[in-house]
Amino acid sequence: MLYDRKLSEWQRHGLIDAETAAKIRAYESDGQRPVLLYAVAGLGALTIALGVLAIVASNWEAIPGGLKLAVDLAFACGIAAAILKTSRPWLREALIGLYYGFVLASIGLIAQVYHLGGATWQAISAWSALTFVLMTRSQSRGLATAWLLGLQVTFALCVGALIEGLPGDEAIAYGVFPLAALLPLVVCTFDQVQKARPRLVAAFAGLAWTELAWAASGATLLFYENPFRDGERGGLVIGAVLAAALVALLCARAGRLVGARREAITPLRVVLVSALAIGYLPPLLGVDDQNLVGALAFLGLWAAIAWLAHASHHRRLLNTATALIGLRLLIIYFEVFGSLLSTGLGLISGGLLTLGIAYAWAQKRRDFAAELGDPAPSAPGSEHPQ
Amino acid sequence: MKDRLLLVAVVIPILGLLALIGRAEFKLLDGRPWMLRIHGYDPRDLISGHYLRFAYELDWEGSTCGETAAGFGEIQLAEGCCLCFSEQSWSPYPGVRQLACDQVDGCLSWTRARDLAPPQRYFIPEDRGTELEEALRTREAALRVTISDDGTLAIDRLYLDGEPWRP
Repeated sequence: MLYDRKLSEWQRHGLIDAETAAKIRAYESDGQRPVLLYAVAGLGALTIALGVLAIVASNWEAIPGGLKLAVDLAFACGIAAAILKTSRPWLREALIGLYYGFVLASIGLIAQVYHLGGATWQAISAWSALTFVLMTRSQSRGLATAWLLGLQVTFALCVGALIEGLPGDEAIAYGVFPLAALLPLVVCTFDQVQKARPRLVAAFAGLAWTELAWAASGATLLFYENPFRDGERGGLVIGAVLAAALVALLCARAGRLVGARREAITPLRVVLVSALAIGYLPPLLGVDDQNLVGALAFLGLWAAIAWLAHASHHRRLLNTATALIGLRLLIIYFEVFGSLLSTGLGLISGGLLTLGIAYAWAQKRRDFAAELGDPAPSAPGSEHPQ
Repeated sequence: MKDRLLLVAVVIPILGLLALIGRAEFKLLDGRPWMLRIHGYDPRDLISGHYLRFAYELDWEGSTCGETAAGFGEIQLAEGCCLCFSEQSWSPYPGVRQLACDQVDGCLSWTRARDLAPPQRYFIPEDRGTELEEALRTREAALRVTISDDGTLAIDRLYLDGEPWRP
């Protein structure tokens, strides 16, 4: 086992004694899942399922529509019964995930048997509505993420269908789509949800923050070229007003998003307001061809994210933010002094800047790691601790 | 039961699927049946995946709605207009008039024009695609549909030369 090798290595280097190593081994053995058993059982179930599928598929055309639907419903009832019956949490989660996908496939089958020519958004909406309560029962982070993605796809398709053909429909869509990331964050601020579904809150918050950060980063490109014409900007107002209201609500309830890290409240508010401003102000004001402002907006956004990561002791995010800031600084250099690159002077200054940023980043990372209470990252090429 | 809501949660999808099936069955049984002629939508590729892509070929009796209301050119299905169906004694296919949706009183059946706009899709077995594509070029194809009182159209079955096509 991997930890066996590591324990021996740590013992050899005097980091732990034999007694501690034995205790760790005993603890890990107790807590171990019968992975092989699960793998064999899973493989068996998968083989049976594939066999049934192969038989059904080879006779698919010969099966009358009514029988197909009857078998489909019988399978649905079987999965439902298994979800209710099982006492193993991991199996219940797997079955809920299977049921979630199976309902969508069943809606597709009904559409096929009855030649329903409806739009995709109708089928997806029915799926999301029918599985809403089911997915609130799931406990795992993975299923919560899949559910949120499903809800966001439903939202996007419904909005798309609703605004299709309206003047300025692209601007309306641009304005309204960020709500799909802001609404889950609002859900995360409710105490009841936090207590009852901590993993769902973690999944929703993780995905929503990631989407917001990347959406706002992408929106900085609007400073370079604004795709919306004067007559279309009115469509942005609806989304901007709703987003501003949600951001105000999130700022007011920021304390519920940061947990015990009260010092993260201010940077969180700054990130939210920055993302809102970057996302909506350039298209609303018709800003165009402001490359440097766009680059500074990106740097400001990720500096605020780095501040938030630092305040909330989120190491990986802090590293990502500082790395992106360094990368963006380099891109600014190429954007601003691109013409110099053909000369030796340009290459030398570009190389020096790259080295300087890399050095400053490594230094700052070490400072941050020390501040967050972690061992400082070892310098490349340094000796392994003896 | 540890989690009563879980019982509700797993039953809702089954009830919902049953409702979707019941709704589709009801539309087929409740509506008035019509035969509508069809032709392949794209002559280069009628069969796209598991779908037959087709367009309805309607026996027009005129239009008082949309761009073709003035009578210039071929009648086009217009968004926001409705279609009024009437029987023709000399043909198995209905006569169709395009009119404003508030004028459908008195029609034997009516439906929204956009619901018949091409391309339409009909699910077919994958291995029958070539055969059906050939049949659609050489034989008269029609769909038996039902149209309910609220204007909803449901496809029942494909007919070739008046005979039901069996997959």
